Amino acid sequence: MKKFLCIEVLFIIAVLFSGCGFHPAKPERFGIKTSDEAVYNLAISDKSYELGQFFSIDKFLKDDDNEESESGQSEDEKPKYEIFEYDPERNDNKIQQYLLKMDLQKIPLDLGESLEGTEITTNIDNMGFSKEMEIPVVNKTEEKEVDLNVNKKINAFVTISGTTQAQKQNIQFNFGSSGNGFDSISYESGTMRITKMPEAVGTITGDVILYQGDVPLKRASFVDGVASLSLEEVTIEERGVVLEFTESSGIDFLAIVDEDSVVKSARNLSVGENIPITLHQEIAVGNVSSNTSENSDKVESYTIGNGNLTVAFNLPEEWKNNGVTYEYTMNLYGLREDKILSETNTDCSLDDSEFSEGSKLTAIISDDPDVEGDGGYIKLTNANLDFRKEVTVDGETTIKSITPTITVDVEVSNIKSATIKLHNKIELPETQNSSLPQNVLDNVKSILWDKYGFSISCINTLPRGNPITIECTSDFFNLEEIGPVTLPNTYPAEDVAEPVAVELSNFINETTSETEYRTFIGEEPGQFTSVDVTPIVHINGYDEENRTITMEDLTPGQTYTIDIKVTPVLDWQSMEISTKDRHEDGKMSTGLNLSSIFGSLEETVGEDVADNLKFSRIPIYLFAEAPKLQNDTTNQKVQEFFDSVTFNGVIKAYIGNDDGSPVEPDETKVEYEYLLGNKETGESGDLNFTPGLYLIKNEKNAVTTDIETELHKDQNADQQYADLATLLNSMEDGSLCVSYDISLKTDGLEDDTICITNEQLEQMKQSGSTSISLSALCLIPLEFKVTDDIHMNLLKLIGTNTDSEDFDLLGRKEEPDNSQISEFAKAIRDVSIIYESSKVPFIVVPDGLEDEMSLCIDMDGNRGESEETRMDISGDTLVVRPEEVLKYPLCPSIELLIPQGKLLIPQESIFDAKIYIKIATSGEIIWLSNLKNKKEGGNE
Amino acid sequence: MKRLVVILASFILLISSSFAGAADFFDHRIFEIKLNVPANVSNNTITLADILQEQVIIDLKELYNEMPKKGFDATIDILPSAAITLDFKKGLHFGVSAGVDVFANTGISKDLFRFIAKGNQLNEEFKVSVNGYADVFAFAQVDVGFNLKKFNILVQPALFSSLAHAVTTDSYVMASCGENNAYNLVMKGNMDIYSSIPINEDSFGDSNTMVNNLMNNLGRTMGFDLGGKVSYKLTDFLTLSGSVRIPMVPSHLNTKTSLNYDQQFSFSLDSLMNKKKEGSGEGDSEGSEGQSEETPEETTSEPEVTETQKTSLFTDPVSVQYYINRPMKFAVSAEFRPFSWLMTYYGTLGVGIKHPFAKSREESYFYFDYLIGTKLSLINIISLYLSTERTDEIFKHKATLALNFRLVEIDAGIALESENLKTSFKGSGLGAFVTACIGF
Repeated sequence: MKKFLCIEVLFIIAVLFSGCGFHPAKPERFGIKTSDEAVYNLAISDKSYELGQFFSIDKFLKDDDNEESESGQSEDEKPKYEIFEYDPERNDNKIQQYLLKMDLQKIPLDLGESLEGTEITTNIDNMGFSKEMEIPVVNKTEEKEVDLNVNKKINAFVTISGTTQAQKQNIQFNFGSSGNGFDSISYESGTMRITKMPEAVGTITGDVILYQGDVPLKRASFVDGVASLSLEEVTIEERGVVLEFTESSGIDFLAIVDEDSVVKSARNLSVGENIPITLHQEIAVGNVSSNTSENSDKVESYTIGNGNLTVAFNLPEEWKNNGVTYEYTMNLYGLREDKILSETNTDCSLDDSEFSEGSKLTAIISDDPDVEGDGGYIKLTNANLDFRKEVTVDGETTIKSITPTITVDVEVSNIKSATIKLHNKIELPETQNSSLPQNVLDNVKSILWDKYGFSISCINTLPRGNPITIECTSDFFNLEEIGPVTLPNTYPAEDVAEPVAVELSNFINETTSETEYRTFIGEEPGQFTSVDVTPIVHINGYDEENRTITMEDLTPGQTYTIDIKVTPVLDWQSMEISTKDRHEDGKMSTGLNLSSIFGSLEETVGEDVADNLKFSRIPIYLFAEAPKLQNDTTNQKVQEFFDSVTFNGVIKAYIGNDDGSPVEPDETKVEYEYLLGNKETGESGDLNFTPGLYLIKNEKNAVTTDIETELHKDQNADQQYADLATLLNSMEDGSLCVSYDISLKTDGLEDDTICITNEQLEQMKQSGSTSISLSALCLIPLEFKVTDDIHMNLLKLIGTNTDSEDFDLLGRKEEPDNSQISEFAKAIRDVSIIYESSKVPFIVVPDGLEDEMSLCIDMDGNRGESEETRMDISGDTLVVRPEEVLKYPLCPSIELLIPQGKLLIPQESIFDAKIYIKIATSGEIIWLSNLKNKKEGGNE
Repeated sequence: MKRLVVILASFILLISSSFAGAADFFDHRIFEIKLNVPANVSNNTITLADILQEQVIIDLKELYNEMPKKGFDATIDILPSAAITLDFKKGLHFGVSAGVDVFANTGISKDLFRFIAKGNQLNEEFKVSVNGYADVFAFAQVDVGFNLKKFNILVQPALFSSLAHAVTTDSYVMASCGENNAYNLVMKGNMDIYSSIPINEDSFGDSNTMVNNLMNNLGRTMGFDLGGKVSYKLTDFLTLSGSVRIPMVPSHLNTKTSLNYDQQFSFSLDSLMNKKKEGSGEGDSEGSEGQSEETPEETTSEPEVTETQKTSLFTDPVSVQYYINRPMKFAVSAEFRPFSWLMTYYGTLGVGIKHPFAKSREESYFYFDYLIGTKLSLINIISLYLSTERTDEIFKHKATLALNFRLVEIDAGIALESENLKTSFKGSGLGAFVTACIGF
């Protein structure tokens, strides 16, 4: 049947497929035929590379500057140079430019600032001192529970005696002495023990049952002749208590309640005898401190001005007006005289009591007959008392005893006097002597003061009994034994928490129409080179040796403050500044050359970059600057001075070593470019001031003033200008150096002293310059001549290290087995790498019309196996074959070609590149069996 | 020639009418137990002719060019059933049958194949939609047939229950290139599963329990439809009939569980390549240090490879009332038997409505069916059926061989199938069935 079925199925298939003209065969090989029309587009990268670091020249100049500062040379000893980015409006191609400003000579006129910002200010500021002292609260409250032991007495009442009977019998309590009794006693816990009387014959056996009336309360069996009836939550009433003995009869018995049984409450309780009260309570009144730290100030001793001690015997609320009466006599020791207090005489004065560390008060209520007084007692007559109550604390309920307490309360509102041991002594000011700043000593002849001295700002909340006085002498400030000045008290107002500081002007001298205060600077008698101040501060009650301060009339809990701040007052009217004998000479190496500009670029992409580049121009200008004043009669004299003064000397530029010496050892062969002076004769030249040139900077700290335009307005500009490009291009080694030998000429003036008023200085500040200076301004545009084609390795430029031997662009460490990939690669017709660049960090002006900046790509890294492809820098397409990409190692050469001509480096040194890939498939068949076989082969 | 044909036809007629009684003897069983197991698997693109070759080559371009607009589509239809029938002479007919109908369909949009064959454009969003649905019905049917004058009437009331209905909603794979050349790949798969019992991840771990629960809930989800057929024997050679299946009470499913798969990747080829380089440079720390010092600052922030995925695939089952019917069908047929048992021609033309009366109109749609076939038989002992048809949206070209020994009959058939008429001739799908009958 099965066979028949198979035949049938085959027959049907044959019929069907023969009808379709189809000849089935067993599949032996599977393949995928790729489409020859498919193109896959992939966006790979969109990156911007900031290449500014390769062209920045400010770094090495700043480093040199720092080294000088670190070497300990003062700012005045050597000329300084600063580097700025230079971005004037007249910059068509937005080329990156720098401005090197070398200060060759500088005479500062703003010397008032020097006074205020130096040692003088610091030392006078240090004359201030401050101290806070907190007086602790002396009040004390001590409370103690009184142990009456009423429980024991009540338990003694509940004593029963009689003869055992095997039937219920009413019993009577043996209250003992008259006056004792109760209506009912409720127990919280406890035990009543029943035994036979000592003299009785026989043994009590069986059980005993305690009834209240007919209600059975507890039952216990006799064991060894003793029955223990639990009294837990049992109320025993005076009447109606019944005992029943189950077996024994006729034996005398005694029932006693354990002493420690706890009574919860008693009704109509009377105790005939007095219940004694005792108390021994010590109150430490000497150890007062607001801060227990060892580093805090401590109160050594104090005398109370106004204080009181109060004693209170506190009956529990439940006991008041409830048949409880009390009397006591309390002895109080520790005061000057011993005191006796009682329930009617409950307080005593503490005025004038003296306490020191360790002092204490002792309150005693004693039942000792030798002690003066009657002691104390409680009497209970028909009292309804609760002895236990539930107390809930934090949600937890506990049962506590109800018992009377005695409270001793010490309250002090005023302290007559207190001696405080200070942890740190008060740093009182000492004699100060500060040198005047060097530039003041060098330049200033005299200072006419408006006000000078020092002001004191003080907060003083010490009691009036502790006055603070200050005396002071100073030759510089012309203070002759001023004082003693008493500092005022500055208590805070009632509605203000903090006290307000008071300013004292006792130590300030002020020039008036009658009195003129002028200080002459110099070594001669009557002249000063330093500022001296000798202050003497006296705080009443302060013992510096023992570090204690005794203060009077104090309020406990208050903080007392002394805070003294001293500020120098150096308001000058005018200064006489000397310009005599101003002469500067020296050599300065700027470190500027082509290598320094392209140093990091050469390190990265190769040394031939700088070889083929030359500076197009390096203009340098001399610039003598004097401050600008308003055209005013008051300024006439100063302006005349500025107009008459010129710089005179020789300034020349050359190629030199780092120490400033010329690279060319033969002095006669050294190429000098003269900025000032005559190149032919070597004679010195004059340079007038060029007022009005001020270096304006933008938000990026780049100078925007058009230096060249501004300086060329001056008719002497040609004399002040030189182009150092030829000089710098001429030698490979060395860098730009400047040597100078200049002095300030004051020809035609009677006096070489200039008197600058404070007002004039403010005008100078507004105009931008407050000094007489000679500077060299060197412009460094990044604009170069390209003497030969430059090939720049772009991979290195964007940070790929292509130098290593095993470099592979795809990051492979060893030759991969590409057999499997190559099967896939057959499916790829070609790969197009498309790049677009919107920003290039170079502007090239080629000499030849056909030359353009371009990308040169050689897939085999210039080994000659493949041809170099030259592509447009702004965007192009590179078509590669799969086998070129799969080759190991893949280390293509990607070079940026800068043709001969001119190279400009723009301010925005960004290399912006977008890369896309287009993969076109080939239409080839990929046989899966080939892949499988190769994979197996690879595994082997 | 004419004479020869007339003579031959007369001869055949004579022979066939002589054996008409015998043929009827084999064709008709009074009592019959029948098992029928048809299974159909088909797609609209890849044909048997493509695969049954010595060298099988999938031509990506041709695949795209020849693919219908709607994209790749594949269907599975399995309908095992069992029936017991009493068939008396003169059209009186009683039968009960029960079975399961499993129908599943899935499709992938043509965009995927366009990408493979044509590639892509930069900044072009590439989206491949995936859709599919599955229905599982269980049914029990009663057949009652009788003759009314010249008409034979067959009434087929059926109880049916939908065991599960699953449909995809908003399922796709989408790739796009965003800022910084970051590629975003979004994969979303959403499927709503309606069932009579709550389904979650654990349900699939214990399929026995799930099937038992489904069976226990059959009664609650039961629906009812009524089928019927009227045949009219116009002549001894020609019978015409019309048939119908009308849903009366829909089966309803009580719970809905959503299966949500949502995964997103974001990466750029550049950052991937950089990572690979960094990884390979780890061993050479000295070299990489030196390199990093010289590396210029890259001002573009690189997107990192990120991935987000929901942790649970299944949402909690929610209670719904989802109504579902078996397809509604109308058909007319004709059977022409010019040579009695020897040769029969038959044909059917019908329309169907999938998911009739569904809440969402989108779920309902029309389709048409047809059938043209012929039967060659030898006194109904050995019969060969050849037909071409479209049934339940699948084109089939079927050949069936039947062996009938009255007490036992076995039919076996095989079909070339496809959802697409063009590819159906090449065998984009296969169907097969076996029917076994025992009776007398």
